[in-house]
Amino acid sequence: MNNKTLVVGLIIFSLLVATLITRDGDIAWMMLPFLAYLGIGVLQTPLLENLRFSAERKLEQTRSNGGVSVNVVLAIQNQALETVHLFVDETVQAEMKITEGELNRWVTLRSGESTELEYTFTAARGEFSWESIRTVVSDPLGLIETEMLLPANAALQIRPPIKKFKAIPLRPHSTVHSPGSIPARLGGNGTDFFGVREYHPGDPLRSLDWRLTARHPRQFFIKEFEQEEIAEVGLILDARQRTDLRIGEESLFERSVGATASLAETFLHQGHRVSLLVFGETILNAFPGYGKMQLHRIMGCLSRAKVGAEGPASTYLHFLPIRMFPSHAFIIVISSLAAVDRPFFQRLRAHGYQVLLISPDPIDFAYPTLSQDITNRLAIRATRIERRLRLNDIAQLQIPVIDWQVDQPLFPLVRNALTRSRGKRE
Amino acid sequence: MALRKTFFAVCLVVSVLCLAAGYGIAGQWAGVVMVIVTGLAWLLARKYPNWLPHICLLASVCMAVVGRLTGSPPLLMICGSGIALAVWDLLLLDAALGRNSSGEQTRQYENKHLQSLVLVLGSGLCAVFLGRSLTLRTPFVLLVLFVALAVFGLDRAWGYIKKWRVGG
Repeated sequence: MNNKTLVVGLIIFSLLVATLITRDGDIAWMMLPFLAYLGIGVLQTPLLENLRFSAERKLEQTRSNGGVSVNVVLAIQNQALETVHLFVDETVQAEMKITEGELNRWVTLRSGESTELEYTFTAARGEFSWESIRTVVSDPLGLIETEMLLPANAALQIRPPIKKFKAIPLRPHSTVHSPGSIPARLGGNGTDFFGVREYHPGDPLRSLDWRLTARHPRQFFIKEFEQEEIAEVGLILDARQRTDLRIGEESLFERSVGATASLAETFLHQGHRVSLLVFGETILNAFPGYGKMQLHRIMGCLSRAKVGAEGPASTYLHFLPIRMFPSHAFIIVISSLAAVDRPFFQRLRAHGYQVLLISPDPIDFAYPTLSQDITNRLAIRATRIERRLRLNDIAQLQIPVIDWQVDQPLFPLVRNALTRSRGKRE
Repeated sequence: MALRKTFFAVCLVVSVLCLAAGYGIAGQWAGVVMVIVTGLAWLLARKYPNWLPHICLLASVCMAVVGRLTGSPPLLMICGSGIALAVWDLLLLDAALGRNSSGEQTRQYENKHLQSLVLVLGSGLCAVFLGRSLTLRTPFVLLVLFVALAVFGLDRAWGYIKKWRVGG
């Protein structure tokens, strides 16, 4: 029973009571238009078992990049023999921003007729799925309403924005034995000369170093080339609430997600094996893999990643299941860093991982919104010192640290950090 | 101007005029003022479609009943309250359609709604005029029984709708 029926029913009942109390026939006559209203509404209500609809939700694409407009069309056809009066209502999900079109409409559909509801929305990032379209069938006066959910499945993944990086020159301690682009410090098939060694039975004859062999009449030597292999890269994205900072529409976490997506795309494009772990209220992961399918998996995780409320287990990075990364992986942690995170990096180093920390700078991110009075300036200075000490602490564990001011391009910082760390090692 | 808005304006004026004229004829000027205030409230109800139209309708019906009890002409009171029902319905229709009334199928829905409303007003008020013009002497007890039967019928009809028509 909806509000209209309730109000009309209440008025009829009140008029009836008033008639009985006052014994005035004219008050009883007042009921008649209301009874006619109710009666005509009831008589025009369609029979539920006769109702048949087909519904479809059409999306322009199933995957899209953040910020791009997505067009959605809902099509409903009346397959019943009688005319129906229908209210079509689309469910708007939390992150959707409707830019054009309409989300609900009252329509009258004759038998075989169809209606379309079209709208456009944008979203920064996320996974959207719909299972049904909500419709309300009623009489023309809207007195007797029946809600129906018409099945119309659709899903859309809006990926974080990717900035294309040039190739990042990785030099990990160890590589995966699969042909790639990283010199593996191992003799074998490759393009760069690696060395000369004595011939062993089974070696290909075309690799024989004839000059050296000619100088040593009783021995054969072959030329070796440096093998080029791929790297094992693990990405850890920190999605804890304590490391996020939201100012208006902007969020530090969204920048981190964008950076992670760009890095994943670059490494996969270079042919490396990449895995991802998002650590927040829940853990999302993409196990190590290559190629486009792996990129889809990683983008799926990043689309779903959310900053959630912290539970006791998600407070500390220490609880992170790092063994999902192979032992020789090169791990990149993207985190703005909390005070209690140092033991986690110690643990990573203790397990023999090569680590790089990319730390988006929350102070620089918030700086334009802070007032510049003396107290604030001192507070900012103190916070900067604290953050610098924290980063230095991590750097002492032989971990290259990138203090990323999020408005700066990330690629040169990563390249420089990796080159510097290689220089130190060599 | 959309048809429903024209219809709304006409119904509002007629309803207010009927009630005000009724009170005016009975010489109750306070009632006339109350009716005019209710008319203004109807205009305001567009902004608060969730609750104000219901209150305005209740107020109009209450004023019609009070007017009848204080000696106003009954036909004007019955017309006033009946047409107030149309004003209330048109306000709720306007709120439901909102700005999305441009499509052909939405216009069809609107037309069908207006047709039904005209049918309601026509049949309801005609029945009232016809019933009042017939000079049948009905004992009051019979009238009460008839009304009780109507209410019982309404209850049965509602049960029928719940069971068979809306799958309740």
